[in-house]
Amino acid sequence: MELLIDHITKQYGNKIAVNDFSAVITDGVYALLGANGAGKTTLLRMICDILRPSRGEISLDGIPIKSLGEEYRQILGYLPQSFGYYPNFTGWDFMMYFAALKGLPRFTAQERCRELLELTGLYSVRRKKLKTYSGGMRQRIGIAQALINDPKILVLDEPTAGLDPKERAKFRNIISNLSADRIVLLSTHIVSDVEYIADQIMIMKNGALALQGDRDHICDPIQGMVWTCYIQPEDVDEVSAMYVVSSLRHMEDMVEMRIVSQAKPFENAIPADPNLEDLYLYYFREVEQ
Amino acid sequence: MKKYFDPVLKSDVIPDPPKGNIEKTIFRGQQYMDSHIPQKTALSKLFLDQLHYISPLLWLAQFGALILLIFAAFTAQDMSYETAVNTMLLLASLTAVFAVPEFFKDISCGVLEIEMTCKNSSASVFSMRLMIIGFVNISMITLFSTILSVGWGLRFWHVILFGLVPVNVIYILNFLLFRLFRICGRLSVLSCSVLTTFFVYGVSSGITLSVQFNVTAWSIIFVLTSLILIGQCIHEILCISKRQGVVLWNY
Repeated sequence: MELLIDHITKQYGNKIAVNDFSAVITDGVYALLGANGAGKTTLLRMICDILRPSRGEISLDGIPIKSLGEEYRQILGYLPQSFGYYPNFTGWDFMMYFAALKGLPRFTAQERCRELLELTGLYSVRRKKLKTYSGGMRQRIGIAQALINDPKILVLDEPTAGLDPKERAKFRNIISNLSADRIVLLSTHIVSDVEYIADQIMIMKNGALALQGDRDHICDPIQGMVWTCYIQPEDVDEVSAMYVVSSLRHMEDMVEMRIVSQAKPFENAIPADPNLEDLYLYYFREVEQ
Repeated sequence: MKKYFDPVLKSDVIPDPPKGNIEKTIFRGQQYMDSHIPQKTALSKLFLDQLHYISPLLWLAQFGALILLIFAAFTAQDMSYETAVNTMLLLASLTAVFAVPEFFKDISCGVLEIEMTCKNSSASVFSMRLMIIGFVNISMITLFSTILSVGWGLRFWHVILFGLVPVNVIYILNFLLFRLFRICGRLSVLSCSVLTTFFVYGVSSGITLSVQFNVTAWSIIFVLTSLILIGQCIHEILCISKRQGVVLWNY
């Protein structure tokens, strides 16, 4: 299965939300990283065919998705960044409603809803109204509805928002288990959510694809640019203003800083292996500057 | 014949499958059958699903209006023509108050984005909702008209016009206002619907009291408003299908 995103652009008046974005997506987990306003949600909406691009085309195995229509939606699962629910719906009502809209026969729907509610730890509260659910619980039921029709293309927009670390770990395991024979495309700000499960990482900046690579090589551009330094506490502010600081840890009388810089920042700086968070901060610190 | 085929069939000795394979095959076949999603959802299933999820407030409004009319039937034996007309205007307006928010509940409740990615298109869901609510509304207005015309000797066609015309105008105004002012919250939608209903009721009540009833004029207004409403509904459905027009995330 191949999803081809071919030079798509989305323009609202003078504002360009997605700018000539192209990518080829096959089976596996694809992470879309970007700052707020980078165009991730707009891109995901176009992939889900709920927004039409101003230019360009998205096709699945050579067929434009707008032509596929129902056939495409049948294999699609989508979790939006924010979503609501009908008043007085319980968790069970919510799942069964979307199972009906996704065309599942009643008995299959009941079985599938039960299975997914158990997977997301919501089976015991299925009869409670959604308005009583916490933010994390609503997010989990959102993930559950995205999986109802066993989609071959799963699009998740900020799926771990509101989840605690334990729930995020569980979510990562669910996605890893699901990713075989399936396209999983997820956008997030939380680098650690995708660092270990994503097969391909795409960094989006100002509506365009800035960088793409697999998780083993995506950090190659900043290889040799990450340093561990030990500085005096009173110098922290000055150093933070001059360099991209990935992390900072106060020790007894020194501060350990992880800095991303092309040149060696200090004499005592020790080279370190770059990670995805370093890359993300380096790319988007450049945007701010 | 059997004598000829028996030796042929017995010439190839096929070993029995390993134990459990037959049961596994049956189980997998059942799993596949259970997971099979029909290629097209039957219209009747779509209809029943949408009917199942219509808000109880809508049903309450419809049957509440009916109960009010039945109460009036027992208490007001000698109802004047003006009172009967006002009663019809009021009841028809009541039936429309919760119908409009029901049309737009997917936007007002923030569910549209997920619904648009479901197999059954938002356009068919919206159409089904229109059909159900439209049918219920028209049925209730017809029932009110029948009761009023039979109970108080009023002309059926006159009475039904007093029901259908204001309801058409309420829907037309609400569609316009929602799109013009990009009203999307639940409370905003309901408030707009209530205000529009009161406005239309007030205006139509004033007109019926001050201007002599002209069945031709009201019939023309009914046809015109029906055409406008049908045009608005078709426009909404086309916008949803083609992903055009104003939707929540274009606001």
